[in-house]
Amino acid sequence: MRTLFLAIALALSPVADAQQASVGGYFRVMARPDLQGGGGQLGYWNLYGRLLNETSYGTLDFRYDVLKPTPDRRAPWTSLHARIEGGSIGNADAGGGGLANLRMSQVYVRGGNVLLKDVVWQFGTLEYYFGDLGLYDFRPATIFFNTVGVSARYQPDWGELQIGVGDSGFGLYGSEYNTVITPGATARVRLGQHLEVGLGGEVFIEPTVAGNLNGAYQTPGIAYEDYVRGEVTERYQEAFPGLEDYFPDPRARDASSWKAVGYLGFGGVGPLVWSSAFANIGMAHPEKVVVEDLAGEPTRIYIHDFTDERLQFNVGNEMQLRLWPERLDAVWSVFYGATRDADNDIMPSEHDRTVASTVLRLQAYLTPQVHFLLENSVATERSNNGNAYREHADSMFANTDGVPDTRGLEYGDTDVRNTWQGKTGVVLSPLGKGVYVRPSLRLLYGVQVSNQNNAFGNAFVETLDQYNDFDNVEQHVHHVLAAEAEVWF
Amino acid sequence: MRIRMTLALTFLTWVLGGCLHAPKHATAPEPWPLALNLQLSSLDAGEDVALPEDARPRLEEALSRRGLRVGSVGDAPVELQVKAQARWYAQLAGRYRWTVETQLRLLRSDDETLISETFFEVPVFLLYDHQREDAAFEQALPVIERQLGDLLDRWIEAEG
Repeated sequence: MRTLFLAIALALSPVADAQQASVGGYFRVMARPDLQGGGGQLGYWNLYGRLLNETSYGTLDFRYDVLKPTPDRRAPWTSLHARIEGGSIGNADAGGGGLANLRMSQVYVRGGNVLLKDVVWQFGTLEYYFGDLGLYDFRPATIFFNTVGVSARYQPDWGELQIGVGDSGFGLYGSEYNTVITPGATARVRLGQHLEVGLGGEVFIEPTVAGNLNGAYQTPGIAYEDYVRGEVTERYQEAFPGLEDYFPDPRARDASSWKAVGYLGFGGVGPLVWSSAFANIGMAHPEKVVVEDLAGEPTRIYIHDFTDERLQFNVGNEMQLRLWPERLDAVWSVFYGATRDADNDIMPSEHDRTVASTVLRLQAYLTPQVHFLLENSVATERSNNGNAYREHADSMFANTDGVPDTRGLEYGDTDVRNTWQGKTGVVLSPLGKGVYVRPSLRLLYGVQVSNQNNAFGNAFVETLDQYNDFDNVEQHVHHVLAAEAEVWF
Repeated sequence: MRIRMTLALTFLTWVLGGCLHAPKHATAPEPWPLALNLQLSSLDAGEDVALPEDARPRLEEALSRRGLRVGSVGDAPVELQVKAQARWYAQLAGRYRWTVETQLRLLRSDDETLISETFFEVPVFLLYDHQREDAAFEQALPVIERQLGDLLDRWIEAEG
């Protein structure tokens, strides 16, 4: 890592030709005083619109032209890209701007006119997306997110073709690496000025080498409920006292998963600037292992079969509208996501729920540099496996029949969270008009109404213990003020 | 109520926008003719590409504002070359980052003597993949206009 930093520093040093090195990036930083005990986020996550729900973030992206393309496009060329990013800025969040919050998320080398004319090769990280739902900052049509390898991209006038193959083992598992071969491809076709279609997909194949501790395995003879309660070894000891050394050995599996993505874009008609719909459907890659204590020894319990049927489907659309040219623009987004876990019928989880949301942002231009922003979002999240949210500070945990159940796997007293957020304020935009023109300097007020109690990051006491030092707090309306800056450069 | 609201909004707009003065710029003592030679190319495609519709009018406006008369290439004694090269950079933060490398040159038309020049790179972020070089140039225009203005101001002050 240090060598790479050094290489980048040298590339960007004054010795380097100024035209060979380029740096881009993204930053957002904000002060969000929260007088209701929250941490400065209006709600929990971007489903209610990214505005006022995201925290600080920074990205630096370097490009160094080792061999710059020639104007006639015939000679070989190559460039190095390196990206450092992370979610902390000093005094703006709990991370304190520590560099430990940053990571070298991407490094790749691109090269063209090598072996094949007009084909761009990319070696290194391969993340690629068809586009972005800007109001949510969601990118459902993304492939190669975890992959490092090689891709080839051909870009004729009518669109783009890309094939690639790599390894997602480190991206998925980190220090518990096991090879996950990941081939994939995308195609994007432009049909005239007003219509664009894209399709793509990837497959994750994880062959297990018998004996590799980090391979895909299943520990036989354990119940799903014991696994989610963390009581596998306890049940085993009850059933087989004194036989700890005979805890079942894991059975090898070949893990696999897949993902398909799609994109439909159209626009340039009337007030519609452009509409982008993105979708994905896929089976999440199985998880590997949990560790429980067995007679004082940490014991690995392999869970491939408990996590290999997690289907996910997400679709979203964003429309940019010019309602009153030079005076009023609008962006309207909708999002729907469904996850289903065929292994789990007993516990609420993110792998088995349905979410839906819509966000509308209006931006009026008082002057080219002074804008008025108004955003409204409505969202619902439904747990498919029982209660997952708590409506009141003093509500008992209960199962879906309303019966208190201290051993239950459900949480709270309702399976639905409904959220409304409204945001408004003044935007200063030195570069002029446009909803997505940056830098954007914003003075905002936001309000959230939710059926869930304290539906935002907070430090309130949640238990009902009579000996708690602090009382429980009940509030369903949350207000936040913000002074924030966002810039792409 | 509505009148009060309208008055409040008008006042707010006046305060926010009206209290700022327009930026100062040099003005030619007489309408010197100047030819504007505008060119946009694509480094990725290796060829010249069409300019966005409002590019030339906006840059000509920057000339007119300084009391310069826009002439045709070959006739005017001084030529202003604006050569821009748009280039794809990377997908970044959900957007499509491009760079527009721009060279501004003021030349004597008869012997092509260089009067002044500047070179700079403008980063732009496009929302969609189908937006190409012309959209990148259009988004870079505010920066190009500013740099062009500075170049012209220095020239007018030196000549005047």
